[in-house]
Amino acid sequence: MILSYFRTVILYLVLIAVIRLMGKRQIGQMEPSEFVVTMLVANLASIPMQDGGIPLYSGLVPILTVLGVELILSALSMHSVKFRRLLCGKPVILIENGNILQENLRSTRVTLDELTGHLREKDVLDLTSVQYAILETNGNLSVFPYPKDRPASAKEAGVHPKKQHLPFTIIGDGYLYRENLTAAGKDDRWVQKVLKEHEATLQDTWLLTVDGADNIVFLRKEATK
Amino acid sequence: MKRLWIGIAFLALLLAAGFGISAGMDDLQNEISRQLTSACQTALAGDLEQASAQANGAKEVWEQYRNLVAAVTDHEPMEEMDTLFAQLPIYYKTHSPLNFAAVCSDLSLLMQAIGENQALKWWGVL
Repeated sequence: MILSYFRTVILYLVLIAVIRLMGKRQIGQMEPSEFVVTMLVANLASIPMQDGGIPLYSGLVPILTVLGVELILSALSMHSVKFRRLLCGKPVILIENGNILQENLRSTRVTLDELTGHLREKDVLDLTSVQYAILETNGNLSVFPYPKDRPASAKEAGVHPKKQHLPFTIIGDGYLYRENLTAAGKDDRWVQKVLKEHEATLQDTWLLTVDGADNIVFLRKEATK
Repeated sequence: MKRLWIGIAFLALLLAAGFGISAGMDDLQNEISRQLTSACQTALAGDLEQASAQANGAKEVWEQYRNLVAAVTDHEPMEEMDTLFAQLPIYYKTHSPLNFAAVCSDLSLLMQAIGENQALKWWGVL
């Protein structure tokens, strides 16, 4: 068990270093440490699952050790910018004021084909319409077109859209969410009134939401065959 | 900061448990190996009766802690231990001191290997 502990810590740190060296491109949606944790935990759990001759501790100890190290690293990342930069790297600007920063492309090992491919994924066909493109620490590319090339906001178009309200889920699959009911400023009598209007019971209700303007969405459960 | 302390607590607890298990296995391995080595030498000296008593002592200790050992180590070497212990009464009844001694020696080495799997050695980490 003690060997498992030290091996897990060493392997975890090595994997983080490897993923960082691999660069942002391979990481996808996750930060490097999150990617390592995901990879490790799934494989670690499968080992004692597949082999009954291996004690459960052989899987539990590494998983808990990875969890402990991840908690420490994430807490240190929250409190130290330097540590966060060391662990996750920092965003890199690839396009600035319409200019492709070739040195930054080289340092992040992003090819021109990959850059244009990412831009197409963001519905950008014209490279000259991009003011800023930033490669984030999780490998995603954030694209900011020039104001003249992006869709106008309601404010810019002089349009006054209706006020937006956050809907609260009051009933979900027959379950009453009391905390949401309180947050929406409603009570049980209101729920009973709405259910009566829709000729339904709590168990019949698949979804009931209400927003700040008292707009209600009610969906009844489908009858099971 | 709460997550930091939870993470540190997790690691400290696991480390302490690891050292505890390592120390326990070391004691168990020493006790069983000592008795089996003694049984081996006694059998080679010709006193099969005494050797059998010593080997039974080792077997009793093994059976007492077997389930705990199973919780922290691979089962394959443990099953091998059980198989070898099962051979001892046969060699005792057939008056085979050399075979008896050989099995005791194998058991002792196997127990040392099981114990070393839990010991903190640099080559074990690598």
